Amino acid sequence: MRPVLTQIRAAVLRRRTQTATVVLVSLLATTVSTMALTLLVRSTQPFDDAFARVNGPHLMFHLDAARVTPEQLQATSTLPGVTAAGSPHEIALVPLQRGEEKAVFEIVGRATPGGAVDRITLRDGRWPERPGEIVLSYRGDLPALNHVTVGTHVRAVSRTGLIPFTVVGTALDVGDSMYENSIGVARAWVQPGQVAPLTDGDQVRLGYEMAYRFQRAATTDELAADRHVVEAALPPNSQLWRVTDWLSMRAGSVWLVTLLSSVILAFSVFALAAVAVVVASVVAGAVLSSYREIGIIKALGFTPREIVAIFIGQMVLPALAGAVVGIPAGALASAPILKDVASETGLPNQGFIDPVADVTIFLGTVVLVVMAALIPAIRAARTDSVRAISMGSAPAASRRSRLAGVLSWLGAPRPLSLGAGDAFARPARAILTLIALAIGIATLVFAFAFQKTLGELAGNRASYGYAQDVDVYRYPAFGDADLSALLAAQPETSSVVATRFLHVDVPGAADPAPLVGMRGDAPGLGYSARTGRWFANPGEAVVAALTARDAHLRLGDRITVTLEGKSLTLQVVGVLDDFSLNGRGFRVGWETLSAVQPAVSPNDYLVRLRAGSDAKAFAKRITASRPESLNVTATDVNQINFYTDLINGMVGGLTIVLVLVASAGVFNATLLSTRERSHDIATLKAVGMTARQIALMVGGTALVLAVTASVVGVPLGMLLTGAIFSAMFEFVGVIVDPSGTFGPGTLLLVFGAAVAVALAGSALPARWAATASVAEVLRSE
Amino acid sequence: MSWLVEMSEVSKVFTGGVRTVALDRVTLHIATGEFTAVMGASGSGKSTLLNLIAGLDRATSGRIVVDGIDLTRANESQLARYRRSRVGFVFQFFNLLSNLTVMENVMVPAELAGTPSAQARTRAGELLEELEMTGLQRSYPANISGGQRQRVAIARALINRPALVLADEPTGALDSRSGDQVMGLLDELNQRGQTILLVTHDVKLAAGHGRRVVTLRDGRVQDDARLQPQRAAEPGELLRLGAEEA
Amino acid sequence: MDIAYAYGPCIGHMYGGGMSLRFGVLGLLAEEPLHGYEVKQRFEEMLGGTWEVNIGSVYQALQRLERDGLVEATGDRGDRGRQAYRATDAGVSGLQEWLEDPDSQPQLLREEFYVKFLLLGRHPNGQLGRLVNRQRHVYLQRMRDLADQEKIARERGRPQLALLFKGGQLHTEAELKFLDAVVEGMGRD
Repeated sequence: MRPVLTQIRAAVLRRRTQTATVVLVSLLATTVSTMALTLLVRSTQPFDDAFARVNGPHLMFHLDAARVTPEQLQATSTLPGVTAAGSPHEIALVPLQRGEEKAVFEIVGRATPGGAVDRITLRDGRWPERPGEIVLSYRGDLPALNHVTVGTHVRAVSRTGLIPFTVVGTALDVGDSMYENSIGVARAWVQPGQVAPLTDGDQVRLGYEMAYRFQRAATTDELAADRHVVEAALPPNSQLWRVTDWLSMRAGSVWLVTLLSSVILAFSVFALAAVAVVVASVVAGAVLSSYREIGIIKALGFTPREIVAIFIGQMVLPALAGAVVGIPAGALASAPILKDVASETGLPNQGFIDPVADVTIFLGTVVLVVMAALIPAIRAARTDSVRAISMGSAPAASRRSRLAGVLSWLGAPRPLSLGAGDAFARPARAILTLIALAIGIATLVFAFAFQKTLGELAGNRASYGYAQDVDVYRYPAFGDADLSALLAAQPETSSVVATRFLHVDVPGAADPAPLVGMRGDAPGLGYSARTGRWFANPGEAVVAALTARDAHLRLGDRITVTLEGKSLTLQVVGVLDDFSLNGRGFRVGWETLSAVQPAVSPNDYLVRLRAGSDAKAFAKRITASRPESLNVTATDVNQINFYTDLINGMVGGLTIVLVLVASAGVFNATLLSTRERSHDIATLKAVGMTARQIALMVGGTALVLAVTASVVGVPLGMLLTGAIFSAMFEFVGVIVDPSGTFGPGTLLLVFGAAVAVALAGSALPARWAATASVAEVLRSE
Repeated sequence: MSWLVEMSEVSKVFTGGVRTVALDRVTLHIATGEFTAVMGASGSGKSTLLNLIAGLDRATSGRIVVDGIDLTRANESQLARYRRSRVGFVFQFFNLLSNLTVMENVMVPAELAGTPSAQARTRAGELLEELEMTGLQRSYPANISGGQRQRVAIARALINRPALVLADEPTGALDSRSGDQVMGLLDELNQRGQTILLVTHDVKLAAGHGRRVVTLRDGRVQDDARLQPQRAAEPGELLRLGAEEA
Repeated sequence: MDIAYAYGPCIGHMYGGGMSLRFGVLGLLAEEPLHGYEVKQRFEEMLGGTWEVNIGSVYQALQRLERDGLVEATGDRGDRGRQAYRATDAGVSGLQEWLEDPDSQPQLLREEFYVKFLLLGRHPNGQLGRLVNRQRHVYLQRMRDLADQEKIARERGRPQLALLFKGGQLHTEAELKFLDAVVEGMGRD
């Protein structure tokens, strides 16, 4: 064993470029993959832990008390597949107010926090025992109500006035409802019977929540099946709002991280694959260049197994060196994101060191490198010792390059055609390098498309519900006409779009879809259709992308939906990106809505201010005028920019990592090629090749690799982009067709980048080849 | 007398690791049209001398002027241009590019020099015809004999009409028959006026073909002998078989 | 001489180079009967001018061969009444034995240079160095001439002769190497 170690040590120290290459690619790949795995594991872990502890519901139904009785609901707890069910609890969506702050809570009437399903864990305090007592769930994203402590007084806003409650406890709740948008609505608990007085049968309606656990609920398909079982046992159109499923909650609890980590994960799989091919290529090159040495150590008595060990060892050691730095680096890089997650979910911050993830990456790296090095190492062990010693160098790969012939026939300069011919002199190496390069190029394609798309989305503030400078939410106590007059009277006000959010039943769809009535100049605010046009006439609707897709709606189609039992026929005139509503729903003009619901009035006012106005001052002033009836929010653009910058930065960083790995692949390939061809290069120098022509020749090799890899990498990148986009953007409710982003300009840019990467990778070998001493090489056979 | 090669007080010192004086104040002038053989044992400095004249290496001190070009002052790309336009190289191990045909191999220096392809092809064809290699134009170096390879190498050395042909042990990798043919070719070239510098450790080769035999020893010129070729000597003056008769 | 005779052809070693002539003549006569003058001519032709043989030596060799019973007169008298000879059976077998016997004579260092080297080496005064240089030039020129002759012999279709010239070159190479060794030795003193 000792002589083997000596050999490994010697190889690692002597072959410095080889060692450095492996250290670098291993470091980059382990950093990325550790980050991905840590985020993935650590970000869902708190949810999983909490969910298991409270025996969280797989499905949570929210039913209309006007259509279902508690007895009917209780009967569903024995349906096939249901393993546990809670009791029907009264619910209503009610704004709670504390000082100037307001937020809508789902108020639940519940006698005890315990039970078979959906147990509520109190952070502090106790469960409500009398009327006027309330427990709030603790959340990170409601700035003021977040930090309520036991003893705080809050008031529920109702049509009959403000009803005071005293906070007697706070709870950790994994079961946030997904209501109007992807950010959940927090729950609050009161004694049974306390909910009904808060409702008004119009904006605030009474319902029941019903929690179920099922035998099979691990996948969305299983959940859908479970859901159908329950729905079949209930009267039609009896759901107050959509069912909450635990997988969505789990994803939603950390949606940003899920998004990020799935992207990073895709990247890290790529990075690891690229590392494997680079390692395989490096090892194969090492075997070739130490051909004679292998012969000698074999003659000295090293067994084939020991030789395999030597070659694997000289790859594994540097790879581990890279991993030792890369894994902690990746873990550290995930720390700020995890911290962000913790503050957003209210769940405890998780340490960024995940021993399982770290050890998995470490061992995975070892296994990967061993696998990649195995075949070349075995080839080394099979070397014919006598031949190796007598020949001195490995049999030269001298195959006629058709490419070189074609290029020179086309009149390409000889150095270029010579270099091009070298690209495929060793097909296995060429393929390995091409894989690494193609991965890098595919990533570049993705990054370009992603960056562009994200930029467009971020620019389209209406798509995520931030078109307005100030959002004013009105409670019934303050009338529409009064508020409109108030807003119009403000000097900063430029325009106001008043909206009302409702649900409609769509034929053939299980879930009710949102319907937003808009009064005012929505396009002026920034709303626009991605395809088609914005609504202009009564009966016209702009449909969100996912609803359009699921209901097979095309421009010009008509669809009849049911709003509060009344039919409403809409003509689709446009499709929009609307991820404030999870990509679903219809947007219609106010006339269209009031035609079927004349009594309904808007409750959400989107205000555009004149340029240079102070949105915060405006918001403060409006709030002050009717603090108990309005909830005013100034749009925080910085918050939006933070997320887009974070995602963009992440994708950019990952792209750089993969481009570096690809570049390392080209570096290795051209280095080996110039070393093996050192004799030819020396000859060419002797017959008068200039340093520039040598650079052109080595660059030619890289160029051919880049061009070939682009042919594979660009379509691969488009495919990848399509796949990731559909997974990722559908998740946030936008359908993005990436093919639109691949204009000739983008492709040219990617191609240029690919060539640049290849040339960068080959720059050092080219330089070394150009400056290498000729005299020595030429005199040896 | 016009000198093609002028080396004055040229020294070359290698400093990597052990300091070695490979050439020690060598002065050597070679006239146009001369066939000079530089001879010496390994380590005598003859390879260094060759590399310096070929512009592949730089002298530590002294001055080398070949065909009017001061190699000691030329920059790298000037040296490369010098190599491809003024010097033709014939190596011991041929150093042909294995993935190019015979024809392409011969054309390479012309192409590097920017000669139009058609013109290079014509010239290469003529050279190959002269060397009786016409039938092998499309062959690859791996498929022809050692002697043929060296003839290809000679054609390549001549394509840019160099002022000086440098031959480094040109027969070292050949059987004696092919070696004789190659040397005969060099003799012929010289008779037509080509200046040739032959470097060899083989005194038979040096004295048998050079008009001038320069012997290097420990980096210095030990001897510089001019020989008379085609001296119509009687065999008996040269060789005596048997002994004093008893 | 008598002792040598008792050992038959082996005695030839005592004669040094003379043996080559004796067996050269015997070898030619083993091919066909020849007169003395024909023997000289054919011998010289075979050697391509590298050995001018005295006719007296030829006759002397013939007489000795006849005395030793290795050749005999054919009885034919050629023009000018000269005697022709042919090899006897003993002569043929003696020749065979000689041809098969590898040459194990002591190394011949016949060049005068060796003696000069020894004499000059006794009183080192730089003269040896100059001699070595001049000698080198002579050897180099000889090498050149031998190479020219080898070429000529080959061109004239005399491959064996060409090989003899090759042999001469190899010997000259050895002499040149000896000169190198002398220089090396001088440097060491």
